[in-house]
Amino acid sequence: MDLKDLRKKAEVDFKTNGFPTTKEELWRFTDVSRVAGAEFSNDWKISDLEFQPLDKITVVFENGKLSREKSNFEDLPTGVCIGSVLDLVDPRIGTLADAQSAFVAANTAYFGDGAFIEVTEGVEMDTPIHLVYLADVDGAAFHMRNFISAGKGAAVTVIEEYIGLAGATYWTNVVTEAFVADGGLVDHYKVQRESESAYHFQTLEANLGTGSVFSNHAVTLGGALGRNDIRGKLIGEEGEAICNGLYLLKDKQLFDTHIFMDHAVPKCNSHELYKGILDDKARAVFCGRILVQKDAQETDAIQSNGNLLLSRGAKVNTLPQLEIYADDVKCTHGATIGEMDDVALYYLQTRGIDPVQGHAMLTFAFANEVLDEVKCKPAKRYIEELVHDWLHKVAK
Amino acid sequence: MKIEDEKSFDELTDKEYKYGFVTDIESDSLPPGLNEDIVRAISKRKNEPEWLTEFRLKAYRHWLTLEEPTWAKVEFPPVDYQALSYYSAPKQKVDMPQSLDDVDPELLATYEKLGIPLGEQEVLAGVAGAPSIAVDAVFDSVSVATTFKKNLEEMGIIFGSFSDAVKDHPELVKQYLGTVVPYKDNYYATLNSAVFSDGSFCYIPKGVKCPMELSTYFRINAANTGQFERTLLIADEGAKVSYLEGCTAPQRDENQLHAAVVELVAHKDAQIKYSTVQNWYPGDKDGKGGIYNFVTKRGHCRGDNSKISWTQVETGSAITWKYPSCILKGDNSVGEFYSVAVTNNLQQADTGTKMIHVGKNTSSTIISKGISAGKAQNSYRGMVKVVETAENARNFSQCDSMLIGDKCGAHTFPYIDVNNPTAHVEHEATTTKIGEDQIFYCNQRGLDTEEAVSLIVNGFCKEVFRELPMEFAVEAQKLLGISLEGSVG
Amino acid sequence: MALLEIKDLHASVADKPILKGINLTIKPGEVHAIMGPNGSGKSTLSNVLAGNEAYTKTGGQVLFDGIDIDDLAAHERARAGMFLAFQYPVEIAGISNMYFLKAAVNAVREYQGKDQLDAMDFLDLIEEKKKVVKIRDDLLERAVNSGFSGGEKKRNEIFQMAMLEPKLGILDETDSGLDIDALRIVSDGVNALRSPDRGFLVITHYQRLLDYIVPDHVHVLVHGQIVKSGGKELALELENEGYNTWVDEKGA
Repeated sequence: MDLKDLRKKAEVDFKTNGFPTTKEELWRFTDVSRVAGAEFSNDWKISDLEFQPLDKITVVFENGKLSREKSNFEDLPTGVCIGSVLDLVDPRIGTLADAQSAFVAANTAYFGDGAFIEVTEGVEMDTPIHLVYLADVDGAAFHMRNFISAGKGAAVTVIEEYIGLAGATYWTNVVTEAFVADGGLVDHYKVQRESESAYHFQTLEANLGTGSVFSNHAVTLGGALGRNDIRGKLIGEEGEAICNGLYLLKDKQLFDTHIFMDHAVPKCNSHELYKGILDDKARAVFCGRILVQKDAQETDAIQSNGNLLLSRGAKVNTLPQLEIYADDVKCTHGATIGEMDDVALYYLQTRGIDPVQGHAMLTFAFANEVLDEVKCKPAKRYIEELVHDWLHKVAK
Repeated sequence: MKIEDEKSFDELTDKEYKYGFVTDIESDSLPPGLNEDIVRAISKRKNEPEWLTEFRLKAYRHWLTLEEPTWAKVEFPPVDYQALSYYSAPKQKVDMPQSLDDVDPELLATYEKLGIPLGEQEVLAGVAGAPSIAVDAVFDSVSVATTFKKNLEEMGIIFGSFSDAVKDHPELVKQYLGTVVPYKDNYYATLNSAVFSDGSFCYIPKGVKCPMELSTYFRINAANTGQFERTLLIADEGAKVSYLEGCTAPQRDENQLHAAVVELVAHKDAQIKYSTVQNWYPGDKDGKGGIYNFVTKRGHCRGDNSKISWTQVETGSAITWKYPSCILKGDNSVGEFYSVAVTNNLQQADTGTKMIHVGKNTSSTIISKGISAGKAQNSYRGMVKVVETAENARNFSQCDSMLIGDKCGAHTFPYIDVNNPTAHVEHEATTTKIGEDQIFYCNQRGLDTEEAVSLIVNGFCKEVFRELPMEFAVEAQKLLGISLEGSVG
Repeated sequence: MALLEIKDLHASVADKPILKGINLTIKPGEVHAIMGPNGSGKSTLSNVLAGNEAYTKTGGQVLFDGIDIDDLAAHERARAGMFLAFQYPVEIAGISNMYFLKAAVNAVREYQGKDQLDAMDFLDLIEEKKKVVKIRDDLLERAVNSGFSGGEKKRNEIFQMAMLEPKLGILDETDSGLDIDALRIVSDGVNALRSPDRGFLVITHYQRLLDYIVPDHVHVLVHGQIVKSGGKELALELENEGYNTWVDEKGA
């Protein structure tokens, strides 16, 4: 099916099936009726929002449309192609994202733009590609479609950053499909700093070939209501998927993370480390599913979710799941919810650090653990800054 | 080393279910089918008071509005509820047995065959080593004998069949029935509320520590009969009791439904320990026959400092669907769940627990060991919920799965729901295969592979077995070995 | 003036009395060793001194530098110059050793009325202290004690001590779990830190450590009391005869 037909079909699907309800197991904790019940416009304007470029290459989308003026992706090495997903077509677009999902269907039907990134065989791209999505039209919907492809042995770093105007209510609905060919490497980041009134949904799907690596770090700070659906599909042996994340939530934010790690073949590794800090009446949902299919022997899958509740009224639902149909596997998951570790606090104290400072240090440490595996230095620095700012605000 | 060895695999799986015999005994059964008349007929046959008949009818009417749950990771063809008989009782010489002398000798022989001590003489005569266990034996749907009743009565402990309790202590039954598992609770519990036939009832009065293990032994005998027992156990303030439950069924080609309800109430400072060794017929190696074990078990820590501890060893049944739970309402109350679930051949188990923290300083521990062999599917499903009011709640959960062979599955589905920032909740789960190096080590020390597997699996389950009363722990270990026979060549 | 003066110290853990009247005085420059069998109260003593709230002081007095430490919280004792090298150093994921050390050093400096060290000065200090206790750069970059081997953790403790320059160093079974090479490195670090104005309390089960860190005084702790004190030769005596004579006597 070509893209045109796919979009037609998706529109029919979306109109027929509509949004999910809390009666569905996958959506039982996240009520999206606020999004389903709202009307969104296609209004457009030049964005007044500012952003901080992390490196030389930036691709800027303002209110859903690529801005060549604000972007900078001119001098690219041979074998690297960056542009609008509307101009550069690949038959694989739409083949990975779960068509059953209402959000994916809506996106496929209505996407208005998005990034196309292709790095061909053997090309290792050193400079990270910073995708910036600016949103400051109140009441608008932005369906963004991203496509990332790393050829055999190719390497690329992509940072998606979503920035919104404070107080604006809008709906960002993103689908990112990443294809990592044999021996390829995609190092992917997502920094979500939407407006505190916005709705943000992303479906991120990655296909991992033999010996390839896909890593994702998702940092969530913004949005009134949001969700990341992340799926790693390990279809070649010795693939490695890393999905780490950090959600820092306050006020009445509700953020949901659903990860599905699908081990279809032997000898793959997957690691997931998710941490959340919740203040005020914020609520987090974490559902991490690891599926080890029949014959996916020698799988090594680890998942861990930790949550720190800073206030009365904050809530967490966590559902780590293991579904295993092969016997020669090493799979573990763990989840913790709790307050500060008293022993660590005492240790800091014996080194002269007072409990207030110790508390701040340990809160940062709790969050910071997620960033340990971040390879991209500018991304790491930037995220650390954001975490510090957030903790500072919360401490006040 | 190759673990699979087709020849011995076949040889071993042919080993028979030890308890698969049928007792040839005349029974009094109601015709198959379910409607209000049947519900009334069950109630009438048991000479029940009006309020209990009404309770049943309310449940039946509600049941009609429900659909069978499908969320568990189990698969089975739809149950034809109209093809089942909802009442079967062994015909007695007299209306109700007054003593063991009145019990049909065939029945006594059955229990002897099962190794259940229904004779009090041995123990009373002081035979060395005879366990001091009071037993309530339930054959098909009816309680046939209760031992040590008199000794217990002297301490004010009421222990016997549910039917007797309805006759002799209606006020207690009325006060507690359905207060832990309401008749609307779930499909199977609602069905049970409508058609339950008998079961055990136990009340431990204030301050009494029950001096012996209380035990119910369930046996399904009749064909095409559903078994729906109801157990109600109340520990009043400061009381303490340890309760055991065992189950077997004959080997039949048809699936049989077992939908029981167990309700526990622990008042202030009371402690209840409830242990189950479930060994219903699991079906043959091709998945033919076996019991559908759809059971609702729940304990209510009603008073402060109360404690309810569930220990279960699940080796039988074609399908197990059960989640023994604790509602920790009293401050400082404690809930525990220790479970071993073994599935082999085509068995399926979806089992776990719910710990609902309501009171302050409540704590719960969950230790679950799932072992899956053959083509079996074994799932842990559990919930830990900390509500807003539950200050300083503590939970620790450890769920380990072991896979034996590459055709089975092991799954873990915990639900953690925390609504209070002072809670500490910790969940860990691991899945591993049985170690070839461990087996080789045992082989090298002279154990055959079967023995080695049994040894390693027993070690894997040690934390749970040590929670069982001594006699049960021995039985559980043996059962584990039998269940896994043929799983490794 | 004595650096540490312990008078008739009683302490309990979870309402169980452990220390039953300890008397001990350490002067600046002295190294005291406390030896005792398992369960004699060695770790309780170090934790009570450091101010661990899980341990309750039930009687007696502890003067540190002439000040009663009863009202001082753990971090205040640390800032006043008391350093505890943990038997089991705590792992703190997510905080790098460097960051942690800088925070600690500056907390102590603030207490002493000194200026805060900036990044450059701090790095200089690190380089200087690395000469005292050798520590690999990658350990400094890694999270505090996370994924360190037993020996690396203990070495890190001594390195922290070098950085914080305390008046009193308490070593709580620093030798446990160390092989001979690690033991020598750790001991060399401690010896380099010995000075006329710094005291040490070395708590150990085995005499072995005292071959490397030679004490001025040795005390035998049994059942929460010091049953014998002597010079360094007492340690050798214990090595030959074991604790049994003491344990049996007290146990009888």
